[in-house]
Amino acid sequence: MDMDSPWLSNTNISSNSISTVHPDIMETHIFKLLDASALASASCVSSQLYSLASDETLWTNICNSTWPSTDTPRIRHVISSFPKGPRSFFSDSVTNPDTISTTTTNSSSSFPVNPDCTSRLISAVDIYYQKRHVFSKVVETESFSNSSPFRVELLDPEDTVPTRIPHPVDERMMLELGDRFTLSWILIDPIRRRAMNLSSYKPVIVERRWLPGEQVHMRYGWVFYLGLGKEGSATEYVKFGISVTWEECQCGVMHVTGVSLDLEDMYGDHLSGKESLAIIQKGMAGNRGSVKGREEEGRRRYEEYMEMRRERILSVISIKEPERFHHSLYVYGAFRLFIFATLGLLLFRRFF
Amino acid sequence: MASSSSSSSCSSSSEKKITLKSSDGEALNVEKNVALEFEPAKGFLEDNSEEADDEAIVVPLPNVSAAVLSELIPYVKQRLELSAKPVQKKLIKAFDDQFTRHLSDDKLGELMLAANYLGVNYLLDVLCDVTADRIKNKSVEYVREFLGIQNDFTPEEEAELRAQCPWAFEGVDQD
Repeated sequence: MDMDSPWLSNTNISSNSISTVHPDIMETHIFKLLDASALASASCVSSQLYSLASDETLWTNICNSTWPSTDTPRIRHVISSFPKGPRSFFSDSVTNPDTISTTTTNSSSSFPVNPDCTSRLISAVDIYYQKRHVFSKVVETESFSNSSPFRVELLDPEDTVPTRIPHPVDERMMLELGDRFTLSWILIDPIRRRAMNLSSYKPVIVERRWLPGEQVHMRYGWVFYLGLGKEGSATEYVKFGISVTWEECQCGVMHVTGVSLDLEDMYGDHLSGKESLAIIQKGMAGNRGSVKGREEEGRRRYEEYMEMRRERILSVISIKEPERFHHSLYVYGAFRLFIFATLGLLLFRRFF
Repeated sequence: MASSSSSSSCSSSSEKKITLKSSDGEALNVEKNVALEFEPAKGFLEDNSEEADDEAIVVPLPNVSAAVLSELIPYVKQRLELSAKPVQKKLIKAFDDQFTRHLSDDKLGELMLAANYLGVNYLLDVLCDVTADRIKNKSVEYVREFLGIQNDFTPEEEAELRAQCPWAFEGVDQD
């Protein structure tokens, strides 16, 4: 059966000049038209297709077209150091951390989690509006302090990145924004040669803020279960929070004025640089989630996390400080009563 | 005779016939302008340009069977007529779609080999598009059967390869 294939056989052609051409067409004409899934799938067909479909240029092109931020000299250099180059990088970067791996101890023994040594992380971020790429930025983070919270800022406070996206003028447009924007935040560990995506792809929250100036604020993120043995602890679940701030400019379009990443525990407290680095390294080495349905999964995790966080905080308040909590309710009630009474009095005096 | 013809803009060459000889020894008569679309035939005709009578020339095409040639020739002929007119790209696309829609997987492979050998790049591009479309979102087994390739991995090797890219198999169609 193999010999009868018109596709890759070398025997059914009388002239020997053509015998090597067909694998060539496969690689140069057909494989470049395939998406990452089809190409990865083709590589499992046979050893010949595996070697054809493992071509670095094909995977580099897929990486660059999926995430234009990866098409920079620094990232290209890092990608080339990955075990299978751009192919491993793609596989890592297209997936989000799911749970920590049971074999994490093995992999971390070869690369001990040691934030004191020269650890560094690279963030490669892309934003798309209606599937068209509108923003990309690469930032390298080197210091992970024990005292200050982990935070990656892509833009300096005075920086703005112009786009041609119309500013939402009404609530309907605001609602649509949530469907139109997608974001990818790839976090790369160049030393351990791993990467992962931290974005929910679609925003979990879109809101308007009026101070300072009119802003549209979008939150993305990914909730990561550190689980087993951590039940009830502050870091049972952690949330990578990504926030993007857009400001309206005079011509009716929006500019990006801030893009940042932070990490919060179950109580909404920000984790320090050192703690975050240890969690990130666990996430990189751990199991990955699926790509299909990741937007819904991201939102589901976020909502569950927020609910758990609310319950945790409430339980802490009611266990530790029940009296003060109730006391504060009385104070709030009395304050409202006072306001209403004052308003009533003012109205009464005005009209009578 | 060329002067009397007004129906075709390239009458002088289109009315001359060339004989192509397929790999299985069959002789096919084609218009010279069609034959010129095939790189090996073009080269052969240029090398034998001192030959006064085109009708006497027999171009050997040892890599293409008569069955494939007889599918290719009408396609190239119609495609040439279409591209001679100022028609929209959409029309050419529709024509290409119609040509490729009913091709069996094997025929697609044979035509691709022939288009590549004959240097008919516009057909090769179309056939590659169709092939890529046919193997997108398909299982490994489907692609294997489609291409007629024997699996030479051990089950362990294949399982390991699949484990490296579980995301690739999430959106696969039913075979």
